[in-house]
Parts: sequence; C-alpha cells; structure tokens
Amino acid sequence: MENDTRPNRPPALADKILNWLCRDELIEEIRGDLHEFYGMERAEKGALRAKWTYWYHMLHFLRPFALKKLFSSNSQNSNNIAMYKNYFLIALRNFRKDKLYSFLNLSGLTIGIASCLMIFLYVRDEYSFDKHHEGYEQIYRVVTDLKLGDREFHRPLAPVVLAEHLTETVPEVEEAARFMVGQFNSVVDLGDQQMQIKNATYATSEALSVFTIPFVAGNPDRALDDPKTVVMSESMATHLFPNEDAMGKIVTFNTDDFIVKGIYKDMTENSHFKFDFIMSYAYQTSRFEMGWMSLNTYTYLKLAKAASPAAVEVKLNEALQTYIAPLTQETFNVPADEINANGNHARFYLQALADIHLKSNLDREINANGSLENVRTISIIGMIILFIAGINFVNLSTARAAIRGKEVGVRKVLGSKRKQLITQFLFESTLYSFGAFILATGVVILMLPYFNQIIGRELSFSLGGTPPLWLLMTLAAVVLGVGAGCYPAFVLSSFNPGKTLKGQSQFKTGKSWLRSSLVVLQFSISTTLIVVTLVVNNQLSYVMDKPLGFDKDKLITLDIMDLNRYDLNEEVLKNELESKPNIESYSRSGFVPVSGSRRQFYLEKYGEGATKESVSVQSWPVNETYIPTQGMSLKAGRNFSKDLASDTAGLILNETAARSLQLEKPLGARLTLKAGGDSYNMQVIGIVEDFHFASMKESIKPLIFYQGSDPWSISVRFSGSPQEALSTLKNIWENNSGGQPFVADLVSQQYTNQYQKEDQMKGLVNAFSILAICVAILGLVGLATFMTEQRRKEMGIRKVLGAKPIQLFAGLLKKFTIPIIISCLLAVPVAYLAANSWLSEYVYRISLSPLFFIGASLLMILMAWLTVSFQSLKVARSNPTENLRYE
Amino acid sequence: MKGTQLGEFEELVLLIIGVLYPNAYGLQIRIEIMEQTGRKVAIGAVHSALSRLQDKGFVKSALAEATHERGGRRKRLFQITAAGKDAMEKNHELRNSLWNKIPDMALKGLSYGGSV
Repeated sequence: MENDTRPNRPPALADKILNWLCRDELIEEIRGDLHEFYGMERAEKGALRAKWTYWYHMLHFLRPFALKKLFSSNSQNSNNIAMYKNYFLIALRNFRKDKLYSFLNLSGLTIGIASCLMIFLYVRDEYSFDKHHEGYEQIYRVVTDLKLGDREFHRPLAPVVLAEHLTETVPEVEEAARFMVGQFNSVVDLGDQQMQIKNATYATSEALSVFTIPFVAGNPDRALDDPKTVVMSESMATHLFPNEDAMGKIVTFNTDDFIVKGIYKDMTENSHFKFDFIMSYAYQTSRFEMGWMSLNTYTYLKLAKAASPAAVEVKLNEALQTYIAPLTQETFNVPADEINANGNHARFYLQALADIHLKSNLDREINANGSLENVRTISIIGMIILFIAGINFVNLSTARAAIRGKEVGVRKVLGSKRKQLITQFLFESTLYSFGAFILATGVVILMLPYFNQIIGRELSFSLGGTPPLWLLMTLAAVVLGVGAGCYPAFVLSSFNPGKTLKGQSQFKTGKSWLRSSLVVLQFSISTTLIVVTLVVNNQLSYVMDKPLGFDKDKLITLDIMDLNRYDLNEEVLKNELESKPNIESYSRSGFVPVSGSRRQFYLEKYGEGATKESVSVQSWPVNETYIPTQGMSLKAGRNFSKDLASDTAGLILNETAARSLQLEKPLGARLTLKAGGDSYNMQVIGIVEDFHFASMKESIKPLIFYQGSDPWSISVRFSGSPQEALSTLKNIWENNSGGQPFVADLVSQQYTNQYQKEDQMKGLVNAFSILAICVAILGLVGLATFMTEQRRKEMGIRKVLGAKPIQLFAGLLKKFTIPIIISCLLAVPVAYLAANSWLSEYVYRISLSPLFFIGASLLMILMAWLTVSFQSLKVARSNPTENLRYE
Repeated sequence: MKGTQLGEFEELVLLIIGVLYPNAYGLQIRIEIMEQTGRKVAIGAVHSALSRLQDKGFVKSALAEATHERGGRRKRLFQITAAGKDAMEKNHELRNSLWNKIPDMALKGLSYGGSV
C-alpha cells in the first residue's frame, strides 16, 4: 500500500490497522473515502479534530463485511475449518504414534506450568495483602525515622498527637486511624473467670472507618470514643461468651470494666494486622500523659483522592520541625538546630498501605511481614522451569523434524503455502500447551496441600479472581504454544519438498549445534539451581546448629500475664518448681535471648584519663540464677551472688561489650551506666561468653547484665522430655497462678520460628529446583533417545567392522558428556554470584567452598549419564543385523 | 442469495444513490444522508449498507478515476440496477397503498403540533 508522505496526513497507525484487518479488495475505496473525509474535516475543524474523527470512522469499519476472514488472506476460501480439522487429526495421530516423545513433551510442559500456576497463586496472594480495604490506594502509614546522637529510631510509629494535628491542619488528610501497642496477647476477667485474649490492640473509632471492617452487631460509628469500650471479632466473642450475645456485656481488663460495643467479622489473614479484640485508644490516652515525644502510635492516614503523599510528607516534616525539634535537646541531648546535621537525621515518611506487607520490614511491625525477596526468587524459579520446559519442546520438535519432513513435503507438493504450514505447527504446539494447561490444573489441585505446607498458607485453587485465572491461563496457553512452537514451525515449514521426499536429510550441522547449545543452557541453569539449593540448605543448617553461647535446648519460657495474681502465690510456685526432679533451675526475667524484651542503655568509662566515649549496650536486668538457667558460660570473673550486697552495683559484660569499651583489665573496671536521665557507678564482676540474642544476620552487639528484676517471664531449664516438662509446668501453673492462662514455649521452637521466612524459602527452593532438574532430565531423555536412534545404522556398521559394545557405549556417552561439562563450567560463575549475594545478608555464614560447585557438577553429570546410558547401552548392545536390515 | 428485503437504511442509501447519479460513492452518500436527514452515520455504516445492497443485486459499481484529495486512490461509483429499481418501486407502492388504507378517523385529532 502506498504511503502518503504529505505533512498532516491521517494517523498512520489507524491506516496500518485498517490495512491489517480489512479485506484487500475493499481497502482502496475505504481508505480513499476516509482520506478524502479527513481532508475535509481538517480544512473545517483543524488537524486534531480530524485525527480523532479519522480514528472514529476507522474503527467503524471494523465490521464483518470489511474484515478479513480469519487466518486467510483469501476471503473466498471456505476451506479453513476443514483444514483445522485436519491439523487436529494429524496432531492427534502424531501424538499417538510416538508415545515416548509425546509423553516427554507433555509431562515437561505440565510440570513447568503446574509449578508456575502454584507460584502464581502464591505471588498473587502475597500481593493481595490489605487490598480488601476500600480505597486502600489512599491509605498511608506514617513512619518515624530518627537518628539523634546515639539513638536510632526507625519504626512505623508516630507521636500520639500527630493524627489529631494532621486532621485539623492538613486538608489532604481526610481521616486518620490510630492503633497503640500493636498486636498483643493478654487476659481479661469475666466475673471470677480469667480468659486469654489474643491479638488485642487499642484503636480509635476512625480505625473502624478508615479500614473496611464489616460489623455483624453494633454500630462502628464512634464506637470506641469512650475510654472503656471494646469491639471484638466474631470468634473472640464466641470464645469469651459461648452461646451468648456478647453485645453490651462487660469485660474486665486491668481491673477496668469495658463494655462491648460491637462485633465484626473475623479479619482476613491477608492483612498486615489481624485484631480480635480492639479496645478504645482513649483508654490509654486517658491514663497517661502523652504528647509529641510519645512515639508509640501506628498512624494511618486516609488522604483525599487526588492528594499527593509527597505533599503530605512535606507537611508532616513541617510539624516535626515545629513540635518535635524543640524537645530533642531534653530527650536526645541534641539541640533543635542540629537534628539534621552532624550525622543526625529526623523525618517522617509515608508508606502505602498495600506496600506494607511485602516492602516494610521495620522494627516493631504489627506482625512479621512477608518477604519480597522470597516472592521474587520464587517467581524467577517459576519462569526458569517454564523456560526449561519450553526448550525441551523446541529441542524435541526440531529433533523429530526428519520424521515430520515427509509430511511437510507432501503438503507442499499438494499446494500448501508456507504460511499454512506455519499455522499448522503453531496450532499443534498450542494444542500441546492447552493439553498441558489442563493436566497442570489437575496437578495443582492435587499438589496444593503440600505446597501450602511449604509456604504456611491456605491457598485454594479457583479459576476466578481479578483478572480471572481462566482468562490468564488461556492467554498464557496461547502465548506459550506460539512462543515454544514458532522456532520449530519455521524450521519445519522451510523444508525443501524435493529433498525431503527423496529421503535426504534436511539437517545441516548448524541445527544440531543449536540443540546442543540449548541443552547446555538448560543444564547450566539446572546446575546453578543445585548449587544455590545446596548453599541455602547448608547455611540454614549452619544457623540451626551453630553453638549460640546459651543452650536453647531443654529450655522453656513461660509468660506471666497478670503480675498481681502471680505475686500472690510466688513462694508456693517457687517451692513447687524446686521440688520437681525434672526442673533443674529457673529464673525470672523477660530479657531472654531469642524473643525477649530489649533495652538500650549507655555505658561510659570513668576515672582518671578515661575517655568520655559512651557505648550503647543492651542492658538486661537478671538475677543470680539467670546465667545457669540460660546455659551461658562465664569467661572470667563470677556470677551475681545473692549474699553479696555490693553486687547490686555489679555488672557482667559480654565479650563484645568488654572489647568495644577497650578495657585493659575488664574485671574490676569501673563504669558509668546511663539509664534514662540517671547515672549509676558500676563495677565489672564477670565476663560472659558472647551469645546470639539476635538473628544470624546481625553481629553480636555489646550487652551487660545487672542485678534487677523484670517480672514478665520465667525461664525454666528442665531435664528429660520436653512434653513431660511442659505438663509438669502446666500442673504447677494451673494450681498456683490464680487462673492465669498457661502460655509457654520451648526456646528451641522459638529459635526455629525466627527463621520461618528462610525456612519457607528453603522449602520453595528445594521443591522447585528438583522440579526444574526433572524437566531438564526429561528433555535429555528425549534427545538421547532420538540421537541414538539416528545413529543406529552407524553403530551397526561399526560393530560389523569390529567395534566392541563398550567402545560404542563410550562413544555415545562422550557426545553427551561434553555439553554437560561445558554447562557446568558456565554455571560456576553465575552460581557463585547468586549464592554469594544471598549469603551476604548473613553476618554469620558458611564459606562458599569449591565443594558446592564440584558436587553440583558431579551430580549433574551423573544424572545425565544415567539418563543417557540406558539408551546408549540398548543401542550399543543391539544386534547389528537388526540395525542394518530394514531397507 | 440472501433475502431480497430492503431495509430502511438500505432504502435510504438506495434513494440517495439515485439522487446523486452518476456521482454516488461512499463518502458523498454519507454527506448527502446527513444533509437530507440530519442523521449522523459513520462512513463504515454506509459502506456496510452498500456492500449488502450489492450482495442483493440492487446496485452495481465500478471504480472511477483516482483523485488527489483521496491520496491517489480510486473511488467506487454506485448505480441502481433494475432489481434495485423494482425493489424501490415495490416499497413505494406498498407504502402508498397502506397509507391510503388508513381510515381518516385514525388520524383525526392528531395535529402536527403534537397536542391533542
């Protein structure tokens, strides 16, 4: 079609679409009319209007009379459907004729697609977090990021009064929701009965309207305005008031009576918070004096529709300058004009609600969030598996080209155009991909429970969703079919009919070179996956088995919920604990290595010539039974003693603290402990061996013990079986705790739970790496079968000429070994980089020994050999007369 | 052969082809329809109707000279065939006879202003 080159010509894209879709014999008059019309319109209404109307009228030509008939340039051809029937029949016959090939192709694709589907379900679930809230795009969370002096504070918490200030002064903020304390477990009294409550929080009434929380009873509007009000989830209501209506009932918390104002549907798991018991925020603010320095409130802002979060951030930081800066001198010892200088910074910023689950990983999140890294890694692995399956398809199809060549020849002789042949092969590969998708759906339905176990979720398979899964799957099936089928289709349809019909091979060496490099690619990807899998597994077992400096086994922590009730019976409890043979020792402190409280104080040397440099240290109040109960060991000095009154001014340092204070003689050194506004003069009496009290991703920080008490938890060291110890404890507890719930955990279990995300990652990587390798091996089986079949005659002749079976076998094996070795070599640098970047997160990590790479390569070669040798052996041992006879 | 009924829009197009003789082609027909009836139609709709008319054998067409305004493309000129003329006449007669059969009473009281 000629192109109009005058300036101001009608939109070229519209013309192109028209050319592409309209029948050739009509195109001239249609374009002529449109063009003439365009000229008139432009003269009358200007170029822009003319262009729009041009598009409008162009689109109006897309009706049946003008459109090309599907898949054919010739509208007179009504033969199309018959041809497709034929393609379908031939595809089916070919499928049946070579069962091994069809099986390999289909199973590879099925595994690939099933993996991708499951991964897709997981990823979609991860991205669905918090999106059920109406207008979630407008909701943001305020994060405070301070580094003032030695103090760092980077948490999703904001000052108590910030929300009020913003709703009053910033017009973009429509509403502000507040939570305090996050998600905690506690106890409430119902008459004389004490019940455990889980997932409790304090919230303002606005939280019930900013977030979509459907109520089944009561009215959410202003429900939590009064200090002593509470709303709860349906399941909490049934827990507290079985077979009763909870509305209007009284629940006693902290000796205060709360009235139940509403009941809402249980919150979904797909949210970064899941509260079951929401008490009034006003309860907290009415009891304590709180202001701009009370950084303890999760603040969510619902912005106006068109408002920009960046503009609101500016106003947030103006508020920070006005209200917080004047207070920093007193709290942080940093003058107001230096809060953004000398290495200090102070700012607020906003997080979009939908980003919190995957992208926010701050201190004091309401719940442990998801991991974007896991989601990314697993998506990549999914695509890799599909890619490997696609390579199989290409390799096996082109390998079988010689067989299909005759068919192509006959079709061409009978008048098939190349375009039609391409259509045929694409149609065939799309059929395969649809078949694989249907099988994969079945596989997913069967395998989903196991997958759920790995990821710790309850995913279910349904074809719906937005966008609907069936639609995505259909599209993906077409894309995959065409994507994997297009290279074979082009190769097969290019055959010269004269040659193929005469029986000449169409193979040039180039084609088999391409196959080999695809195999190399597959196997280097697989080898990389093996290396990464080995590294992940080794690192995680290293983390699990590493000596921690305390003994996490045979240790139980027991949470105290109600101090008053506990203290009443403390003596009895103590005696009971001491009298049991399987309880070795116990100590009372909430500061424990795995999941306890943390407190940061400052330590300074004092005395003559001492530098006034202060070191920030974890400061844990403990008693004399703490160190033996935790199974820690003293490097030097001694433990606290009950009998020495002077020990109240004694300190036990960990090795890191001793090092970072640069004490020449740590034992007996005099130090100043700065806690809050007060200073205490202390003396070091012992050094405890470094122990891990944070994740292996962080180095051990300076820490001190001082004599004191933190009442919130008891650690118990036991002997014998954990179940026995737990039941012993439970008995004692139920008789003496005044009816408090029994909330105890094995420390070893808590420790494992710390690495839940990593463990999940390990499970995913293991499962899907194995699948990827399976798919690659399937491909190799097919290729080996095909290539050895092709060389049957050669093997027969060699044998007749005196070659021994073992020589033939070795020859065949060599042909496959070389590409595998090349792929292992290629995999080493990639695997090194991948493994290293994953390990770099850990401070305490394994070293990347060459053994990983050698092991993975050997494993790969071994598997390839096993696969190939079966076929090779068959051919090498076969009778030459059979191989040579048929002709 | 498709049905040989003449649709309302088709009849309009057919009439206009007659009016414009011998210069009836897609775009011109559309312009004429808009001028005569005030109806807004897409060019594609006109082409679609023309194609149907041709399928039914009511019009015949031939490509004319290329012109500059059309970017060097030829236009297709349409003429009414004998069958087309028959169909139009049949429609016309049917309408007239039906019109004459309407009793006066039925239209009495219906003024053109629309008020009763």
